[in-house]
Amino acid sequence: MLTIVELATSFLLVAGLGGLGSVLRHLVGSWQGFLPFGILLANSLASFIAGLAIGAGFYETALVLGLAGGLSTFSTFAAQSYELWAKRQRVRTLLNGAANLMFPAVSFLTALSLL
Amino acid sequence: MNFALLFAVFAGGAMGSLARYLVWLGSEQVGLSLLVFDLVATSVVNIAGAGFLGFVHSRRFKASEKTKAFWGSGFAGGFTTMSGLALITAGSALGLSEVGYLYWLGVAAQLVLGILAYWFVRSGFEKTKGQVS
Repeated sequence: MLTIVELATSFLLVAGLGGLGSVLRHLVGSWQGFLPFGILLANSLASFIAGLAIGAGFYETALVLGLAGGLSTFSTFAAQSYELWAKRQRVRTLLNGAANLMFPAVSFLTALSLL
Repeated sequence: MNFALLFAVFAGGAMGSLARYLVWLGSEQVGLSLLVFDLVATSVVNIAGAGFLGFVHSRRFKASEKTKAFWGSGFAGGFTTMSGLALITAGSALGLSEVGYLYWLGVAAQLVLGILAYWFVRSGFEKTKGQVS
């Protein structure tokens, strides 16, 4: 059970690191190629950070829910997948879904194996 | 580099991340196992967040570039998460799942429902007055 001070500190850390992660995602998010690689990179990097942060005690919350949560995104992935689907790019839509499912999970497991 | 725009993203991202954290704290009270809890909590924020971004991207949402960055890339982006989903797929692969790879179905369903939520809200708000279909 968190104390009031720990809870307030975690709010500040989650908000601050979440904002920082969002700015980083915004900066790399415009990278487009065959797939929207910028968001894929942000999601994979965020999952790697989350994997490294497992077991970091009090700071796990700030790093996983703040930095990694802010850096990764689902909503932009959904928007980009919709845009691909609307342009009848069915294969690219499916590949984008599979890539955003697999690469972040592999990044997370890779980070865990380093601990 | 447009620093005012980046600050808008930072402020929206901070607010969205905090809102997601509150959903997490609320979901923790239900007392589910780790992967089920993660699946439920990510479903709530991701499907709602994708729908909200659909509204921000619709023609009905008339706002400045900074306001759109605050609510879109900032708030909706910070509120939703893909790293939380990675924890489920990775946890399932490590054998932490009580129902084997069925969690993957839950994750796949979440991807599809999120895209549908974005499409549904965006197309709904782009209809003009009096249009029924």
